[in-house]
Amino acid sequence: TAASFSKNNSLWLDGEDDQDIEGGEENLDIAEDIDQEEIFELIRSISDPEHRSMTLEQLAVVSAPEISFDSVDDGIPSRRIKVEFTPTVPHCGMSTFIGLSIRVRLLRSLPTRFKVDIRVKPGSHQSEHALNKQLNDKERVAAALENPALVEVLEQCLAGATE
Amino acid sequence: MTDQQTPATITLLAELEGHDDRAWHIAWNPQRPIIASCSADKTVRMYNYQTDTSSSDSDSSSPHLKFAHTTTIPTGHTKTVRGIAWSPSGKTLATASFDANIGIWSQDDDDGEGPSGEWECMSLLEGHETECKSVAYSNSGNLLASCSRDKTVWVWEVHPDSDFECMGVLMEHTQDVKCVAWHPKEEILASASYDDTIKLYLDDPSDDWFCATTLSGHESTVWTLAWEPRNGKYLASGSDDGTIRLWRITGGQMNEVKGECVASLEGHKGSVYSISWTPGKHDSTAMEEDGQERLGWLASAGGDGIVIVWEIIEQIPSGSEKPKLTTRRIAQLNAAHDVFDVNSLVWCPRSGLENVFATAGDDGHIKVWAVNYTSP
Repeated sequence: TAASFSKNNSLWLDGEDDQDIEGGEENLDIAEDIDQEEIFELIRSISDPEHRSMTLEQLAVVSAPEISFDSVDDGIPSRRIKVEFTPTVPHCGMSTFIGLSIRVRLLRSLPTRFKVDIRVKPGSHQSEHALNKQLNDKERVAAALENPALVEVLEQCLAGATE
Repeated sequence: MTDQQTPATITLLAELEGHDDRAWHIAWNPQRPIIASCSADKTVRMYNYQTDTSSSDSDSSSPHLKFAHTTTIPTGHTKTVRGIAWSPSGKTLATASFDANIGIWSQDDDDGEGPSGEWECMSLLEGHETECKSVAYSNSGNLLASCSRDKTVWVWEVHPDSDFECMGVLMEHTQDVKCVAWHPKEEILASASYDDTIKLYLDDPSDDWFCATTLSGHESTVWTLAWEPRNGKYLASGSDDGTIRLWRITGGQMNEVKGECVASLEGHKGSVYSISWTPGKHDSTAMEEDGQERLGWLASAGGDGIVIVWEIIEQIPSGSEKPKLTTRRIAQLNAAHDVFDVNSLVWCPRSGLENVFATAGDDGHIKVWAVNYTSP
C-alpha cells in the first residue's frame, strides 16, 4: 500500500515509543543507555551490496571503535552519533550506497533524538570529501530513498541486518 | 527556552499538525489569511487564520491568531513536495516536487464570487530531469523560477490561463541548485547551490537570461537565500557551513551587478536550512537615529533546531565611505521543534503581522511564532 511504502521510505522512525517520551530527564536517562556496542549491533550484519553473502563487519567496513558520540548542548538531550566506515578499496564505487544503508538502518532503529553523521574513515577513499558531503545532505538522502530501484537493493542489504 | 540575555522573546502562537511525514516548506499567502505547507507525504495543507478577539490576555503585543484547517491537496505529485510559492496576487500556488515537476494550482471561481472552490492543478511544468527543490515568483508575478538537482535554473514567463513559456535554462552551477529567490523590486534572480556558490542572473533584453555574477565564500552547500525586503540592497545566504552571510548587491539591470560579502552571522551549530527577512514592525520604541537605516529582522533555522532572529541596521557613513552593517542577535529559541530539524522558516508578509513567522519541521508540524521586544 501507499502508506506502508511511505513508511518504509520515511527518514525517521514512526515508533510510538518516541511520541511518548516527553520529559527531559527521562530522555537523558534513555540517551545514556545506548552505547557503541548497541549501535554496532545494528549495523554489523548489513550485507555488502557487491558481496551479498558477506556482512559489513566481515569485510571490516564497520567496527565498534569507529562509532563515537557527541553531546549536543542545545538545551535538550539530543545526541550526535558519528559512524566512520572504511571502504574495501579507495575507489569503491558502492561507498555512497554503503553509507546510505548504514544511515537508513540507524534512522529506522534509533529514537528520533539521535542525529547521525556518516563519514568514510579519513584517508580511506579517493573521493572522501564528496562522499561525506553527499551522505550528510538530508535532501539528497530523502530523494534517494524515494527511488524505488535503489530502495529495493537497500532493503535486500538491510534484510541481512534484521535477522 | 529563550535566551535571557536577548532583548526580544519568541512566543508560540499555534502548532499545526497533520502531515504524515516530514514538513519541508511553508508559504504565507500575500493577500489572504492562508498559510500553506508541503511535505514528504506529497500533500499541501492549507489553513485559514483570523485574529482571535475573544482572548482576554493582556499582552497585546502578540497577535492572537486562530488557525483552521481548510483543505488538503493530494497534489498527485508522485514524490515529496519540497517547495511551494504563492504568486503575488495570492491566487496561484506553485509546487516543486522531487518528481521533477512544477505544479500550478488555483481555485475554482465558477460562481464569480471570488475564489472559494477546490484547488485544481491548472498546469504541470515539465522539463527538469531530476528533483525540483525550490520555486519562486518574481515581484511582478510575471516570472517564475525553478531549480533542481539537475544543476539547472529555469525561468518561466507567466501568461494568462496558466500558460507558461520557458524563457531560459541556466546551466551555471556545477551541482544541485537548492534555492531560487527573486529581488524584491527588480528582475534579478539569485540561486544557491550544493557547489557552495550563489549566482545572480539578469535578462538581456536583446538576448537570453545570463549569469551576471557568482558569489563565493561559503565553505559548504548554500541552502537558502533571502533578499533585504524593502529595496534588495543586500542578499542573505544560509549554508551547511553553519553561517549566514550578508552580501551587498550593487548595480542592476542597467549596469554590472556585483556582490560583496559584508557580514557573516555565527550562532548556529549545524546546517542553516532556511532564512527569511522581514521589514519588521515599526514602533515608537524603535526610533531611527541619524545615519542609520533599519533593514528589519532576519530569522534563521536549521538542523540544530535553533531559531535565531537578527536585527540588521545599516550605518550610513558621511563622505564617500561604504555603508557598514550592524547585526545583533535579538532573540533565540532552542529546540523549536523539540529534537527535530527545522527545514523552513518564513515571515508573514501581511500588514500588522510583520513580527509573526512560521516554521516547518521534520516532525511534520508547522508552528507559528511571534517576536516581541521585552523591554524598550
